[in-house]
Amino acid sequence: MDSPSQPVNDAAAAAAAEDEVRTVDLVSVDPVEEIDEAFLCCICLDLLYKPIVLACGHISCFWCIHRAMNGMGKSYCPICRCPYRHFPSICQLLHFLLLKMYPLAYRVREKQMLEEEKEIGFFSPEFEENLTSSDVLVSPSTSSISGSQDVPASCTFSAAICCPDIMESLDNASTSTLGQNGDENIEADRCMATEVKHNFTNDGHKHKSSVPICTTDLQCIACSELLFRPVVLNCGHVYCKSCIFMQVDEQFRCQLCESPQPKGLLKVCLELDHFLEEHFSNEYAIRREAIRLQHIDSHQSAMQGWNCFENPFSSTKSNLQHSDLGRSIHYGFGCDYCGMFPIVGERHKCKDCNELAGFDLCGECYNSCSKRPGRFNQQHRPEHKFELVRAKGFHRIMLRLASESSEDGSILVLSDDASEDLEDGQVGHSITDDVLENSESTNSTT
Amino acid sequence: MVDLTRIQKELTDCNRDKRVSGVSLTLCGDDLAHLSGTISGPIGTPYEGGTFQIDIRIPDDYPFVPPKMKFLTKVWHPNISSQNGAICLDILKDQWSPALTVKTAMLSLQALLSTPEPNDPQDAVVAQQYIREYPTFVNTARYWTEAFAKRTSIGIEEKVKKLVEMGFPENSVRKVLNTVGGDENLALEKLCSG
Repeated sequence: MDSPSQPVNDAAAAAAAEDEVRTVDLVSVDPVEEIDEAFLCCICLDLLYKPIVLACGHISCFWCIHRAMNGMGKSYCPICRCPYRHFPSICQLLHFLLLKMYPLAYRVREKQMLEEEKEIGFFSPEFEENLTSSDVLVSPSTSSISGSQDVPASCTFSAAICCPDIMESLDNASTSTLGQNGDENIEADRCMATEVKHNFTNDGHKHKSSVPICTTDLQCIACSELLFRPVVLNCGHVYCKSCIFMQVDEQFRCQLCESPQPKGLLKVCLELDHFLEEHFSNEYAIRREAIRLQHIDSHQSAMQGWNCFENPFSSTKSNLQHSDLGRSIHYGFGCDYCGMFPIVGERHKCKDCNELAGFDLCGECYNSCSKRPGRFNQQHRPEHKFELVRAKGFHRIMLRLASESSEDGSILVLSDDASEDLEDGQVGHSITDDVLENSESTNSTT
Repeated sequence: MVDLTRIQKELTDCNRDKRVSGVSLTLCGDDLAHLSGTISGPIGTPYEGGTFQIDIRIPDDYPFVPPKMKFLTKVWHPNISSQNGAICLDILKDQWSPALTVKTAMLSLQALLSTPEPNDPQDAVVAQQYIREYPTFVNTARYWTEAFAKRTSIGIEEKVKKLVEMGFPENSVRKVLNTVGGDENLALEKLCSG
């Protein structure tokens, strides 16, 4: 960001102009940050924005993965074609890492995507605690998130950061929005805030000389140490591979959010692994050694854990699992808790969420009464009421045809209704009602 | 709407190393949804030395659906139609992945030139020839490469001379050659159709 070169007459105007130029520059100027190729999305070829890590360890943007998914059955990783059935949550660790490493480019991406989101009417989840701080950094006057609204529009970046009130409100915002590892994040925020302040006060070298990434940004949920061979769960939380043990008949649950991890393979996120090895070579080597020793100690149990993970859940080429054939499939609708897409089995639709994206749960998540946020930033509340929705009748017929004579062409045509909502009347068309639930029962959460 | 930023990126990325990769990509006019690519014939194949032009149309949902590609240069190959240049290649159909790019697709076409799949043909006649009389196939393919894929090496005067020898008046030959951008085959087609 070059200092403004326009002529100014009086000091006040100069200061105001400078503020304005800074704000504009940050948002509109092409990012000058050199982005590591590892953090380019394989689909949009741009900096990853709200990254999602698939079970196979490949990363892409939230919207890129969403658009690449197949609403009719299994989806496949764009890179390795590994099948998956769940739309994972955004990996917040990577999100904040990228925000820290490429504050300018990430903001540009955010702006871009927000515009696209406004156009389509679907919104990706927001992570308020950190956006708050970055909003303060970029444009104090346009921040829309509580906690930074009290920032005077005219204050400069460094002033905003230095002001203890702001830091306090940031802290409050962080702790209120994030119950889990809030402390870490606040610390990270502070670290970043001071660093960025530093960058902006020395106009000569910005954000290039020192990237304020510390090992606390890259910790395993379980062992709270630097990640080693990281795996990212369906819920978006990151663990060392060696910290995860999956039992054969028991579902693994994230220690932080208690989300169940879908069965199936889970591979190391190699891009993140390489990044760790490169940036924290010493710490990484220490971790490697520690885990090696640990494995010698408890070789047996470790091996058990690994084996379960490496077994892909299905080797059949068929688009539908055999267990699916007797159950209804809600084409184009995904579960907002576990991310199952399309929903197989029961689908519970929230009657009170007005967002275009809607809010749906699969039977299992509905029964587990979990309180996680939705996949599309819906303002869902626990007191909202749900109704049970049946899959469209002809879907079931087509499914039957598909299983008998594989007429998949017609399935594709008929069930292309991702945006269409199911009405009670339409369900009445169903001919093969024998397997369907008895009535259009309406349920409510407790 | 076509993802313009991605296509821009692909264009610059593809042309950065076109000497090494043997594939290049250019815009057809102002429309980013219509590109034109060239691939060089792989060495050690009947297509060696030829430059093949490919017409590329970017659909609205790209990169979530494959780009539409066909050969503009006539080519004798079991998986490419000798009539209209249509290509039979899985990654341009159901095996497409959004992580692939126009460049990787063109590199796959280059690979397809060196390893034909006669059991999954686009052009049954060529495939039959490939299976039953392989030497004839090689000769035909080489001849087609000479005749159609090397036109840039022939000077405009030679083209004029050739076409005049075929019995067309020199004036109209020059005019037609101009309108089709020096493409001898297109000119011949135009001259024949009047």
